Amino acid sequence: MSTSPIQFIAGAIPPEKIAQCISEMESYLHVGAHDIFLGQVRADEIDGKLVEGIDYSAYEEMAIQAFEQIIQEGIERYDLQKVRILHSLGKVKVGELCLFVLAASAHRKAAIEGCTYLVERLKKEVPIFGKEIFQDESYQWKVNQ
Amino acid sequence: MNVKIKYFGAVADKTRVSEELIQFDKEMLTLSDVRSFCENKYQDIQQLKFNLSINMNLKDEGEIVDGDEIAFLPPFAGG
Repeated sequence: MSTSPIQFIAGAIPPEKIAQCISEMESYLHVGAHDIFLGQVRADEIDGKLVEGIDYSAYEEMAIQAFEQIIQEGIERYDLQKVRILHSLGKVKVGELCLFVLAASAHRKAAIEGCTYLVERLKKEVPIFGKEIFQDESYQWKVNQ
Repeated sequence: MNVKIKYFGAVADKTRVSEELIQFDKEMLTLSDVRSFCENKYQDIQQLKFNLSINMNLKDEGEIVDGDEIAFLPPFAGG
């Protein structure tokens, strides 16, 4: 069982891995609520072309550092008991999961607000890059809004 | 001094390398110096949007010392 709050997963995040993260929370007896966010690859249409998948890459050492800082600040601000983040690297097809964020706290307000805080910050601050691949195998680089 | 330079995303598409070690024959080196050097070497990156980091910290400018690691970081797309 990994003790790091952040893990990169090769390819899509399997739902079983998410179930495993949730069950890990059993032993944290002061947790009363979890909020989770799941990011799924969407079949966007861009200039008449359909996205078939996203190929994720990262400046991994800097990404881990950024994740850790965001998590630490989230824990302090929202009194979170536990955070788990999984992010895909490599190819993830439309319909598959690419991001999992779990924020666990004593009470629901902190868990919900803490989870949102983590998601919004990671999308802005973590050096992860995504190549949106179209059905014709051409691609463009994804930019977070 | 030796500087490791890493390229990511759309920038790496143009440079066709993900990292390289460059030796600069200068006593004093700044981030702008490194940026200019790379933009001159890989002219196609000039039209791209990117930020820079020194040893994994985003910086607009700064002094570079031997062994530093610079990265060219296009817009982030996590999640």
